[in-house]
Amino acid sequence: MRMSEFVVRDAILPGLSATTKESAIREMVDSLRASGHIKPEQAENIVRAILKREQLGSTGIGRGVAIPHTKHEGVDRLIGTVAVSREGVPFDSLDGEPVHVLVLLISPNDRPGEHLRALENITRSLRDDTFCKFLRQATTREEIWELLQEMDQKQAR
Amino acid sequence: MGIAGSGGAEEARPGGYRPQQTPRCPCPHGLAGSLAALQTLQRKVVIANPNGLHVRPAAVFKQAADRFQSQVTLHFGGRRADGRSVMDLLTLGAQPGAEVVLEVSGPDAAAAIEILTQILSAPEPPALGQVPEEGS
Repeated sequence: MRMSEFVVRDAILPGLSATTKESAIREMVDSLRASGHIKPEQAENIVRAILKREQLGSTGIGRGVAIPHTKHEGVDRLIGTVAVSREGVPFDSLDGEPVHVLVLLISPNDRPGEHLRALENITRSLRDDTFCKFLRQATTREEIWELLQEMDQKQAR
Repeated sequence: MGIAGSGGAEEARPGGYRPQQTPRCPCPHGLAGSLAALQTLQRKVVIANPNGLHVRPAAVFKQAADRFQSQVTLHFGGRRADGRSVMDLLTLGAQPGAEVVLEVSGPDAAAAIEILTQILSAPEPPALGQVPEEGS
C-alpha cells in the first residue's frame, strides 16, 4: 500500500511544534480533523485510543521514527499523516532517542492486512537514508508530499 | 540517525544476559570453542498473530533478540531483516500464517532460537519487558 494512498496531503505537518508524546499525537490528530478526514467529535476519542496503544509499548521503533496508530470505527479506510519535528520529541523509543519523523495511522476495525502493508511500505521507505534525510530537511507540506510520491514510485519499481 | 546501521548488535544488552562459556578444546589452539561460537541454526516458523508481524510483536522480538549474543535474522519473501531492528522486521510485511525462516548464529543460538520461535508462534505477544525466559 503506497504512502500517497493513505497519507492525507492536507494534514501533513512539516514543522511539528509539540514537544511531548501526547501533544505530538494531539497535533497530528487535530491536523486530520482540520482537513476534514476525522469528525470533530471523534478526535478526542481517537487521541485517547492512540495513547492507550502507546501504553502497551512505544511505537517509537528507533532511528528517530515513530508510528503511533490505532483502529477506530470513525474511519472507513486507512488514513494517516506525516509530521517532522526539528527538535525531536521524547517518545520512550526502543533506542531511547527522540523522534523526528512521525507517521500516524488510523485503520478501520476490520482490516489488519491494510495496516500491515502500510507499515511495510513506511518502514521500507524510512530505511532509505536519503529519503529520511530529505524528509527531515523538508520545510513545506508540498516538499514532503513530493518526497512521499517519489519514494512510492521507487518502491513500485 | 543512522538508518543504515546494523541495529546495534554490539550495544549493551538489557535483561542481564551473561555470555556463556563455550566448551574448550583440549588442544592448544582452542578450535572447538571457535566452532561452537559459529553455530548457525535455522527454523521455519509460522506467524500466528492474527494481525501478522506488526509493531508490537516486532518490538517484543527485538527485545528478546537483544538479550542474546547471537546474530538474529528473519527471512521472508526473498527479503531479510535484522532481528534487532523493528524497522527491518516491519519491512517484511509478514501476514498471519506467513512462513518465515528464523536464522540464529552465535554461541547461544540454541537458546535464542527457542525463545524467538515462541514469540513468533504466539497468537499474542507477551507484554514488552516480559519476554519468556529460557525453559519456560
